Amino acid sequence: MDRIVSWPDRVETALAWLAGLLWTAPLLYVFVRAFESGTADLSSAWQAAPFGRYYLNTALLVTGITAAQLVVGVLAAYAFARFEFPLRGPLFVFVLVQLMIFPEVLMSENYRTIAGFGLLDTLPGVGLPYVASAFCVFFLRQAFLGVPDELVEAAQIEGTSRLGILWKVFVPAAKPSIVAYALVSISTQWNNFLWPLIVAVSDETRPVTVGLVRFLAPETGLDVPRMAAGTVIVTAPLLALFLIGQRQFINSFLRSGIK
Amino acid sequence: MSLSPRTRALAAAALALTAVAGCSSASGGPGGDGGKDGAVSIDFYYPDQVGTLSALIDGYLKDFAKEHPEIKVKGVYSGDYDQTLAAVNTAIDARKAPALAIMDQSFMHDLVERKAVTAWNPFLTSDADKKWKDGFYPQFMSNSVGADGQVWGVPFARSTIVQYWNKDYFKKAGLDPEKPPTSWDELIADARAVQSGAGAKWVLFVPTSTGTAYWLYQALVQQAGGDGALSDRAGTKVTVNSDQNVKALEFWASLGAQKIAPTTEVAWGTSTDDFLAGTTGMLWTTSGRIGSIQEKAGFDWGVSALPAGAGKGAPTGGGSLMLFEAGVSRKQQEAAVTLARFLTTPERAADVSIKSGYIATSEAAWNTEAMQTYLKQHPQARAPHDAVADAIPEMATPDRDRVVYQTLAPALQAVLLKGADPRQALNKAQSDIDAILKTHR
Amino acid sequence: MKARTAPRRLPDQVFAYALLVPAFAFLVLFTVKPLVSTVLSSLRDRRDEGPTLDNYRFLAEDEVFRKALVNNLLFSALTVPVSLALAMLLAVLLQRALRGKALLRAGVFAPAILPVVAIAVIWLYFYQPNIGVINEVLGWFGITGPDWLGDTALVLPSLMAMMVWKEAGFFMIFYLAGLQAIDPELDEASRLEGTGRFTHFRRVTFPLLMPTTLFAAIVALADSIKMVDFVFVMTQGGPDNSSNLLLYYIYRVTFAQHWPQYGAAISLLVIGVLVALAVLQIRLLDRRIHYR
Repeated sequence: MDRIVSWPDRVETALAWLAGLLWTAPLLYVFVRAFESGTADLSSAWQAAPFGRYYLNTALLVTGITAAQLVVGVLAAYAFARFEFPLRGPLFVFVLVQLMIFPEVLMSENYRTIAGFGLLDTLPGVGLPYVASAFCVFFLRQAFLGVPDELVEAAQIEGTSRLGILWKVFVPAAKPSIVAYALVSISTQWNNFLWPLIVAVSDETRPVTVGLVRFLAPETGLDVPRMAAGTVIVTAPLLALFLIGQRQFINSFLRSGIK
Repeated sequence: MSLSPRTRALAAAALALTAVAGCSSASGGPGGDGGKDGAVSIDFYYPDQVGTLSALIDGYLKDFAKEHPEIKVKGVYSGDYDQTLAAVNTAIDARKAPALAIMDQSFMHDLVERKAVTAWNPFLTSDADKKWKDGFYPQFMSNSVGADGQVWGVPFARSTIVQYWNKDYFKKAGLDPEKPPTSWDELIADARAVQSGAGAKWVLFVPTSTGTAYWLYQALVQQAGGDGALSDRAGTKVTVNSDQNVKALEFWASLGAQKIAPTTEVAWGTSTDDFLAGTTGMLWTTSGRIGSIQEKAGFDWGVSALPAGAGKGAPTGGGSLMLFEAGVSRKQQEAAVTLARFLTTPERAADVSIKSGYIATSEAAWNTEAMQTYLKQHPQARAPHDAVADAIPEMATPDRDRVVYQTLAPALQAVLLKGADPRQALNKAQSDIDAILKTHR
Repeated sequence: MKARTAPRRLPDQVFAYALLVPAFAFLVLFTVKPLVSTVLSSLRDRRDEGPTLDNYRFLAEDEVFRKALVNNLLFSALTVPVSLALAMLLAVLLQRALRGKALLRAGVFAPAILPVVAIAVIWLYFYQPNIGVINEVLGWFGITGPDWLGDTALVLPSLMAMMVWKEAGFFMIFYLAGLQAIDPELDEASRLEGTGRFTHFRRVTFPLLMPTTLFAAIVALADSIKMVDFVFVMTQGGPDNSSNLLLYYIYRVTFAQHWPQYGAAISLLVIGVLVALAVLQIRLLDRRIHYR
């Protein structure tokens, strides 16, 4: 049955477009300003700070942390989702509470711990406090809980070990969640600023967020094309990745069933 | 714990990644002394508060590398003065302090109290050394020398507050464009003329942002006839509620009341941009901005010393070279001193001044041919130099962040932005500051 | 028949604990141990001698802390509901068949993945009173724009608006997922019955989205406390501490003022509040999940 485009529909469409425009206008403006003199501003911005090095640092941090979080998270989620053991409830609540006690709120003591390991101004020093992620454990546990018992029983009958079941049954079944989590973690870690600001002081370890602020040195005044160029350099790769993988990204969220 | 081969591989990969990242990124700290060829490596942290300094310093470091191949310097640009301090502190905690860093001299008390810095005196043994140290303008040394004669810093890029004015606006207002106001009364009169005659949105920008309000306030107090330094030499006594202090703040607030200046915050960073854009006819800010104003101004402009009142003079500012100790060997410190000598020769000091607008740090630098030639083409640069004769020390106390940024600045802002009563606000600031400083005696 | 020698097998319970070891190792190292150290540190004075309650005494009188606390409460209390409400609205708008839907979704979502500092730099420029874009545009309509960041009354709302702009797109995805899970038959049923669009939303969609809302609210609340990056770039807590936020204050006290002991006391207070909120939300969330 054809739907007659009714007034409420038109209003909704108009609202949708208005919202879209309002949301994208600031970014579009920045991109326009960055390119107003061709690529001159971009290349001078690129040369003004070691953005290549900053990017490398960010890439290493982001993949290292996410990988570590997934390894640790998968194991813990498996335990919480499929096993009965004493104190399971309280231990899980303990993990969840960590959602609120993030590394930054303990910045002083975490700083001392990292200094004690001699890891100040190193990438591991920046990444280690994030390895245990309550969000990851929670999220993956949800996914694992949704795996049908029959699949597990079938594997058990075949004599697969418990870790084998984890690897062959649970992980594939939870792939949308794992991908969704990985994408969220990557973008969260990409954007991390405060902790790297404290720990990564030299150009060799600075990620792109800290590097951007140093480069722009807002205290010296606003040079709009320069600022736009620097912002474009920092955000373009992320946006490009997002635009390419957008469908994947959103779909994996949808399929992962955050409900 | 037994892991499936895949999980093992994954974990190994994750660990390997972070390990590789760690190895390839370990800053290596101040390196060491005595490499294969006796090379010494040192770290050098420097800020850039005006936008022109970091490029200059990069150039000097390249020249230094040619002249002193036995010293390897790693230059680390660390933002503004506060960010550089934070970065240096982290390095100290990691026992990898930079051997040399450019710091805002007013941090001296904090750094000395925490024993983070080394005095220069042991390294100034020969006559040539002493001549070098004594050659700097005493006004620039006033914040760097302790009461006991210990020298904690050597001037590199120093400044003072000056008055910039838009000559085109003055012409339009019917004022003599070559005559900036030299007293408070003249300032108000000129401001009114510029407002009505030239159609400038605002007439005078005096930055009120948290990190810099104190500096401008010092100048106003001096103009009101009070002690603009606000703090004593030892940094343990601060006066902010004398009659002249109140008078200065009242005058400042009156600018807002008369709509000569905004009653919202005048941000340090963008005040120069606003001046260049014609938003304001006059600007009181660091002489260090002369470089960018020269480069970008699309109108005729001038620079002069600040107006005088019962007193005159403005605080100094800018950065000095300081020596740090945590994890730094004697040999590295000697290398740092060599670098410092290199960076502060009269020729280089003149170069810094010419290219960035900071003031020549010594008479010798002022008299170099390069400087004198530059002055012929840019006579405006005389004004900041001449203003140094009356310059007063920058406000400096221990626990500076709390005292200056967290107590004094909000008190000033409460009056300027929210209409609080000046005397009450300053009395309260006085007692708060006294309480803080009491814990440091 | 001889049984195949099975490899020695840990009992299930022990195996489970073993699985938890890596996670808990890191949790202990970077959450528990620092937490304990923070408590101990908060009981020492500036020279690291103690124990003393001076830090807490000072906390009770500290005006700057009070301002930061009020600012944070306002910030969270306003940005969380507004972000979620907008996110829900956007999800509903961008869920139905619409030309260019993917593009619009991308546009709304893009700010969410960008670094806060990059957004802060952009908006610092936009908010400039004299040379910034917003006031320039307002000027075309003859309106003199205010000083968005320099006015003590406007700075916090301006920052809140910026954060909502950034975060709403992120939560929109949560809601899109939630909407997808709703049985389309319900939509049909409503239409056949002639129920108005808005009533349908209020009676059917909104309640069914509650689990999503609760989950998103936890994340949004944590984010609203965690994200102080823009303070570094835009206002440094001013003017007159009207944009000072708790985490930023902790940073200043600990790293700029070298007073980690007092910073520890402030941190503990913040943690206490956060944990209380977390426990509350988890109870609600868990009940919801089990109910389903």
